[in-house]
Formats: sequence, structure tokens, C-alpha cells
Amino acid sequence: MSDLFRMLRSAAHSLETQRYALDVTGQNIANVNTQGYVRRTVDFAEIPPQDPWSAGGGVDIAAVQAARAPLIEGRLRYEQVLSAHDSAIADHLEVILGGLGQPGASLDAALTRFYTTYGALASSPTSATARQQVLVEAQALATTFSDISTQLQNARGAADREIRNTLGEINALAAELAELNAGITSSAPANVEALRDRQAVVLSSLSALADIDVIHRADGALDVAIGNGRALVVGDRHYDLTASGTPPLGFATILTNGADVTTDITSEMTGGRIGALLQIRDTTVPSYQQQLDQLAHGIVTDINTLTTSGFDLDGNAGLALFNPLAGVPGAAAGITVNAAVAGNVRRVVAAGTPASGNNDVARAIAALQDSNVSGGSARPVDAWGALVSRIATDARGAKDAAAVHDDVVQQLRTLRDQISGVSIDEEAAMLMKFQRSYEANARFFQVADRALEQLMNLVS
Amino acid sequence: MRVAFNAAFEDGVRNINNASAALAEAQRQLSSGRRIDSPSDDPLGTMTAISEHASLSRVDAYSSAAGDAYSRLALADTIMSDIVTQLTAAQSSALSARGSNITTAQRQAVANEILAIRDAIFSDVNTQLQGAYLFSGSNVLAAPYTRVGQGFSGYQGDATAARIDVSNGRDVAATFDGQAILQGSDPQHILDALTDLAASILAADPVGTQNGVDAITRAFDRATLAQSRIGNDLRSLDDVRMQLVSVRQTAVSRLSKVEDADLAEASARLAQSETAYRAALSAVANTLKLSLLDFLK
Repeated sequence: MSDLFRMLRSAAHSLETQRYALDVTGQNIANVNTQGYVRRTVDFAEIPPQDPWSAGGGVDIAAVQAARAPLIEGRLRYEQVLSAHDSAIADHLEVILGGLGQPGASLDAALTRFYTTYGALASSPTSATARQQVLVEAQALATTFSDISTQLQNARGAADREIRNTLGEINALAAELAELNAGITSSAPANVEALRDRQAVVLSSLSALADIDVIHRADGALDVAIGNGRALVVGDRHYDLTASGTPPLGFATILTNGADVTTDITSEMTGGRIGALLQIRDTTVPSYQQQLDQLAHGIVTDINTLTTSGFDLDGNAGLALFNPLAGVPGAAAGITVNAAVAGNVRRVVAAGTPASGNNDVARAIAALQDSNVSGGSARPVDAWGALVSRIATDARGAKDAAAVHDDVVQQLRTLRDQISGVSIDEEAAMLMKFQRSYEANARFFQVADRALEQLMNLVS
Repeated sequence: MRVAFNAAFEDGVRNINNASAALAEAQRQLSSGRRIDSPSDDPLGTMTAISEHASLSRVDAYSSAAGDAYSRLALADTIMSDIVTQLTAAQSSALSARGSNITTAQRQAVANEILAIRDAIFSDVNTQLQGAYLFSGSNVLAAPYTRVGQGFSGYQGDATAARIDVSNGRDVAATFDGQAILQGSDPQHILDALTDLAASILAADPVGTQNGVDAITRAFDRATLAQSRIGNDLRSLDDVRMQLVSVRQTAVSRLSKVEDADLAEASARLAQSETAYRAALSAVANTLKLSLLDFLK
């Protein structure tokens, strides 16, 4: 009789086991759209027989496995760093390009109009209208240079603000990882998988922001290093990154606050979104600014050299049209029309001799548009075209690279989902399987119960 | 291979987005007529477009300068024609006053005619265009000659005639050296020479008259030479203007090739991408609809 009771217990336990498996399937279906959720599977284990007259104790839950794909996750993080880096560069450069204007409606147009007014002045060197037009276009040229320079500077400012925001995000994610580490090492095993799901999501977000190294601990916790092995998360502790404004522009340098020392790790941050932002702010845009400044400086130098060699309408020695620049750095932002000329159209220099109708300088300035700019190897408009083309090529390169990395990321996600993702069809099949198993176990319970009942009837 | 629901869904959405982006791009090209939206679409094309826009503006500036130069030269040509005509008339009048059978009244009439011609030449050479004297060389704010009492001043301009660029490497005269026309290497300009000639005719001075006639002949030669130079510039301008039209057409065509969308191709691509978009929508809608759950009762 005791065997029959054992069979009843075994059937009840098996029913509970199948119910649990159904529950896990339900959990899988419920989380089909949950980011980072890794499909769970139930490992069943036979309960061995206790004595020769027993077939076995039924079934038990050996474990609930999460179908993780650590190799692919690692590779995915690596690709995400590259993808986020190139995407951020492409995004910022597209914004810069948007501000540069269309061909024929930007600095190229301002340059052409400016030189053309000197052509018109050469036709009528004594015309007050032609002289006024030169001043108007000189002012427009200075303003256009200054606007473009400001836009480039604003792009650096925007990158800096984003760097500061990104540091905040990195710190928040590091804090969450530390918290998850504490949870993983102290929680009951049943809860650990949910924490590890979240851990993977946080790591994925973090790897899009910066190039990180992840060290897996035996207890399931993770240590994360950033830059050249700087500790970001160690166990349940995290070390915040801070931004410190640095003169002259107040741009942020990135400091890591270790146990007892603060270190500047700006130069170590090369990957991910923050690496891209630093590259935009400290390398890419400054090199564009340098090229623009070089162009502005060359143009101003060429024009001033000619105007100071000539004479104004009254035969006085010519003044510089633009105020002389201190040097190449800051030239584009610093172009201003000489107030002494701007205030008196007769001071505009068109003549190479004191004769009022001489137009040698005006012709020479108009012809500057066909010669290479001082310090450069291209005509002014072509030098501008080369700068725009360079930014466009950089943007295109970053966009193409980001697209390639995105494709790889997508492929890796598909691979990961093949292992870790929830398939509704599969879960539906599981539902059916566990439902049938439950029904069969229930029938076994019923049979055992009837057998016991019959035995009891014999006894009574 | 396991197909996870989310992966299939994301794949589907990505394909829809790609097809939708291609459709939007074809639509943009067709509706805007522009091939390049952002410079990064075609960096080299953008550089070419910038250069071609500048070339177009340069050609337009040259065309404007050539138009301006043409009106100046046409005016100068008219003036020179008039001076040549006046000198011819002066010469023929002076020649008619030679001989002993000319009456005093006739001499007076011829002398008056010579003086009238002188005044006409004076007026011609002092022609202004937009406030600048045409025949003062570069000293365009000073009249070439002014009246001083009954006579005339010396040349007040300079010998440097201004030129203006009408195309790359070609220039034409914008102002003219009045002295080179009215005086040349003579000791006095033609205005004074004509004054003296009138006096010689009145005084029946054959030597003075002959000197005057000779001066007119030399002035005539100088004027016709100047006129032929103007004519050369005008002919050169005609060539330049035709060249500029052709250069402009070429630049416009090159620019169009870089900037403008090929409408036929864009239309075809629009139709193609619309089909692809429909296919992507239909594929995703149909496949995501299917599930084993439909068959579980």
C-alpha cells in the first residue's frame, strides 16, 4: 500500500513539475518583447528508485537554464563600440554640413560676389556705387567667414555638452552594474537569471557609450574597466567619471576618481560614443577650423597686400581693406572690414597709381579668384570646395563604416536571438507538450488513486 | 535554425524602413529635382558643384564687364568717327581757302567753320560716361582739355589708358589717351593747331595754312589709328561674348550633370522602390500573422 501512496506522491510531484514547466513557458511568452530577456528552459531530472520494488520517484526540476550566448554577446559589445563611434561622428558631421549651405549659396557665393564687385569696380573705378558695393560684399564675406567659424565652434560646444551628458549616463550605468553585482552575488539562484538579463542590457548600453573591458567573475558578477584599464565597476563598487572644465574654452576633461587618486583619462577614451565626441571636439572640427582659418588668412593677406600697394580715389596711399589678422588661428572668426575704409567709399582702393581712373588694383583683386590663395595650393573657391568635400567625405566614410558595423551588429543580434530569443511557435509547441505531459501525469495520478481505492475496498 | 519572434519582427521592420527610405529618396529626387541632398551623398560632386557655380558666376561677371566695355567702346567708336569726320571737313575747308582768288568774306567763313570744327572736336574729346572722362587716360575725373581764355589748356589726363578684363587673359580699353589722339608728337594739340589755322586763313598766310593742313593730316592719321584700335577691341569683344555664351552653356551643363536628378531614372527608381516597399509591407504583415497558436485548439 505504501508503494501506492508513493506513486500518488510521485504523480503529484510530477504534476507540479509539469506545471512549473508550463509556468516557465508562460514566462517566456510573457517576455517575448522584453529587452534583454533570455529564453528559459527547464532541465528535468529523473528521481531514481529508492528500493527494488520502485521504478523511480518521478521527475524533478534539475535547473532552469537561461540560453545565454556569451561569445556572441562579447562580440556584439565590440561591434557596438565601433558602430556607436562611427554613427556619432556621422551624425555630428551631417549637422556641420547642414550648416555649411548648398553649393552656390554659401561661402563660395560670398567669395564670388566679393571678387565680382572688384571686377565691376575695375570697369568704373570712380563710381561711388561700385565702391559701396565692394564694401557691402567685403562685409558680407567677413560675416560669412565668421558665421561658418561660429558654426564649427558651436559643433565643438555641442560635442562637449554631449560628452558631459554621456559621462552622466556612464556613471548611472556603472552604478546600476555595481548594484546588479551585489544582487547577483547575494540573491537566491531563482532570481539571478533576471538580474543577469538586466546586466547584459546595461553592459550593452555601456559598450555603446565607451570602449570597456569586462571581466567575468566566478560568482556571476562583472568587473568593468574603461580607458587603459581604469576601474569603473569592481564588484559592488563603482568609480564615477567626472568632467572638469579646462581653459581656455572650458571644455571638459574626463577624470576618473580611483580609490585615492584622480587621473585625467581624456586621451584614453577613444572608442564608443564618447570617443567619437572627443574626436569631433578635439581633433576633427579643429582641423576643419584650421583649414578655414588658413583660407581666411590667405584671402585677407592677398587682398590687403594689393590694397596697401595702391591708391584710393583721392590719390592717397591705400589702406588695408580688412583689419590685419594676428595670425592663422582664429582668422575666420576675426575678419573685420577696416573702419577707415568702411566709413568712406573714397578710401576703397582700386588704383595702382594716384590717378583716379586707374583700375590696376581692382583688376588684380578680381583676378585673385583665379590664382592660388597665399599659403595654399588652390583658388579661393576651390579651397572652400576642398574643405566642404573633406567634411563630406569624412561624414560619408563614417556613415558607410557605421552601416557596415550596423549590419554586423544586426547579424550578431540575429545569431544571439537564434540562441537566446523567444520563439512564439516554439513556446506554443512547449505549451502543448507540457499540457499533454500534465494531462498524462494527471491520468497516472487518477490510475494510482483508483488502484488505491480498489485496494481500500478490498480491505474494508 | 531557431527563429525568434523578436528577431523576425526586427528584421521585418528594418526591411520596411530600408524600403521606405529608398522610396523617400526617389520621391525627394523627383520632387526637388536635385540629385544631392547632403554633401556627404557625393563629396566629389559637391566640390565640382561649388567650382562650377563659381565658374558660372565668373562667366556672368565677365559677360557683364564685356557688356559694359561694349557700350564704352561703341561710344568711343562713335566719337572717333565724328572726330575723323570733323578733321576731314576741316582739311577740305582749309584746302578750299588756299589760293589768291578767295575773298575776305570767304576766308572769314572758312575760318569760322574751322573754329566750329575745333569746338566740336573739343566737345567730342571731353565726352563723359557715368561721370568719368573717356579720353583722359586714367585721370578720368579731369577733363582732357579745358578752355583757358580764348584758347585751350594742355592735356590734363595721363597717358595710361585703363583696361578692363572681359575674359580670362583678355582685356579691352576702358579709357583712352586723348593726347595721343589730339597731339601725338606734335608741338601743339589739334585744338590750338585749328585755332592757328583759322588765324592763318584769315591772314591769308599760305605757310601757316599749310602747317595747319599738315597738322590736320597727322591728327587724322592718329584718329584713324585710334579708331581702328577701338574697332579691333570691339571685334575682339564680339568673339569674347560668343565664347562666354558657349562657356556658360558648358558650365551649366556640367553643373546640371552634378546637381540635377536624372528625372527618368528617378521616376523608374520611384516605381521600383514603391514595389519593393509594398513587397516588404506585405511580406512582414503575412509572415508575422502566421503562428502555431492558430492551429492549437
